[in-house]
Amino acid sequence: MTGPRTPAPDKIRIEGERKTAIETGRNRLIVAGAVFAAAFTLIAARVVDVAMLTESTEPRLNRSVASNERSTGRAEIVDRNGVLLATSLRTASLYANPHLVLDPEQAAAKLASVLPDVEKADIERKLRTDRGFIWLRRHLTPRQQYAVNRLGIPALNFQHEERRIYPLGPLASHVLGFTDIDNRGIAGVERYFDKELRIRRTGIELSLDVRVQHVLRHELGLAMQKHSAIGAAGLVMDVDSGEVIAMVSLPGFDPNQPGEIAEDLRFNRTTLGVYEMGSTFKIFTTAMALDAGTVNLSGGYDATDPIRVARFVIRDYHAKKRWLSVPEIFMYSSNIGSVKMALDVGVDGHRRFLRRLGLLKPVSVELSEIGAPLAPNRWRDINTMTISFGHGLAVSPLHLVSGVSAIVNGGVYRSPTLIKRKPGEGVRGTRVVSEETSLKMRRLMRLVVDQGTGKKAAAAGYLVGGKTGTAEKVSGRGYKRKALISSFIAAFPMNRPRYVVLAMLDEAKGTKDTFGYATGGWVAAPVIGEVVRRIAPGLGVDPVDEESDEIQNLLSVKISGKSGREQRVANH
Amino acid sequence: MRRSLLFWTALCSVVVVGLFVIKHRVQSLEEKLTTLNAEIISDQNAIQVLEAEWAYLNQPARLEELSRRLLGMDAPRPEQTRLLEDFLKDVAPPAGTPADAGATEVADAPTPKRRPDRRALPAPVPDEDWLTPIMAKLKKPQ
Repeated sequence: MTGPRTPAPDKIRIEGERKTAIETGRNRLIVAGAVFAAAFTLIAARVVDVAMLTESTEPRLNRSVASNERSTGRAEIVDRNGVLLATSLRTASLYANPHLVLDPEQAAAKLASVLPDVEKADIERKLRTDRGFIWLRRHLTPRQQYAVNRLGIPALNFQHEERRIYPLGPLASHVLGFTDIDNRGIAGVERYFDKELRIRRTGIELSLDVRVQHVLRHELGLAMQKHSAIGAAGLVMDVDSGEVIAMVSLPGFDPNQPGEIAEDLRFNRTTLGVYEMGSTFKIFTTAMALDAGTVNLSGGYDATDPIRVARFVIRDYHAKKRWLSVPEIFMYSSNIGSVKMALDVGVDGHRRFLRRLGLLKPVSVELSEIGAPLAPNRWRDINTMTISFGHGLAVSPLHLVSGVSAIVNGGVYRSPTLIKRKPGEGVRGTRVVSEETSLKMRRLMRLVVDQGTGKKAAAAGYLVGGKTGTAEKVSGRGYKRKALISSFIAAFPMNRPRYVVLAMLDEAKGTKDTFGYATGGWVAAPVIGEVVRRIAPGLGVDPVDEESDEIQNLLSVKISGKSGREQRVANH
Repeated sequence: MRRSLLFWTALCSVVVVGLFVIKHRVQSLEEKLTTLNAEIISDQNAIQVLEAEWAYLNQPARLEELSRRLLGMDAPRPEQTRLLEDFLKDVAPPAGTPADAGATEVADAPTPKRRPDRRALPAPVPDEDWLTPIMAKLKKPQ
């Protein structure tokens, strides 16, 4: 063709086979593009969802841990000075999934080599059981956990648990009690405050002072050993607040090993045990008579002849066989005199007085081991007679200590407590005797230590006063002659009592040192002397000059003869 | 039209990038917080273990045994205890006596005495500086 070039056509039209091929390619491209677009849209939507929307349905909580927050559950128990008595530590417990164990024998052998007191055969048997979970050992030490981890056995794993630890061991065992493996309190304070200890963040402050607790426990332990006693109990109480500063019951136990505590070791002699206390009850009898005004310090009773009533004969242990003044009755611990003193007050008065002192109902203290007193159902003359010298009414040592605190502190009964009171916190009490009677009783108690049956309880400078008590134990229907409850209850310093101390030995035997005697004055009084000497400086009691005029004037007692004229003036 | 489109696109991307950066930062802060919380808890556990150990090592029985054996200490006797008030009474000179009256006499004494008697010694004058805080403490009810 010649002539001007014809312009190229606008569109190249492709026809036939070629056209079909290109159409197919384009369709495929569109489909692929659409698929990719859909995929990207989906991913984008998911990205938005993950990045921004998940939070609205499931908000992430992030907060900082407060510095005083406890990660462990059960609250601590501390003494009055903040010494740790019980705490919870995180420990690891080892468990296994037996299905995953490749070679039970080898695994057992390895485990037995790093864990003490586990039997290889025992572990192997456990690892061969057909279960998905089995405890191998609870509460490993960090070192043991490390050793087990190093073995690299895949089927083993750890579960974090809490374990109750008592760093001071058996020192305050009966007060604290203990917890079982699941941290439930099953004795002592742990049981009484179980619920509270679970929810509290701050610890519980007890009224105990571990230093005093240690001294009392140590000295009682020595006396118990020396006199081959089967048990001992001791208490120290703040007379003004009713706080129990030390509470010891021997034999004790180690609360860190709850599985190994025999039932009889758990027995708290100071609160659960009730005993006929013997002559220490004469404190109550004398205070009652002086307060009722039926007799005064210059009065007295004829103690020449034993009293016969029904089939009983009431005798004196240190018989003087003459008229005795009230101070002498108290000092020589005359049963006959006490009986006559109580009878003068009368059965009703006696019973009311003992009820006011809290001796006829279970003592209220923050423990679950509380013994109810054994009191006569029908109270007759004979009951008043025997109770006047501490037989026929069994109370716990804590009853006795609370009662005596009330007598010496100026006459106000306050319920005992194991919880620290805030300083300056006023404690409500009920008046049981007058201030004047309280002072008279302090003089009489001082006289016992100064000249009477309790000389061994003296601690120079600390003006100890007290009363001995020796009672035969009840066995069946009668009394065991050789099984004695020997006790001494003391208060110091007598010019202004601050603490009451009790030492009691169960079935003490006499030794050569005591010339075979196992009475309170011989076996329990020396414990008091030692304890007071050791605890007084720590409790801030300043020693005084016992011979000074001031003390003599305050604590001296006039011992009068039968005619009423003064026989001699006692030193104090 | 085109300008506004450009503006909005730019703003959008700035916001997106900013949001991403902030979110990333928050995430890393949260991770840090979690780690710190875990550390605090493990430190608290450690403190609790140490407190238990402290109480264990400070058992009265152990302290008593150690101080007896290593320091030669024993239970205090009453005669070893003295009240600060009584002590100060002895230390302070009786009121009214001039402090250096005795001291001048000694210089003139012809023969030295074998044992200086009480008068010969210059009466101890309590230094007010060290006494004041103690006296102030004593006045407070304890």
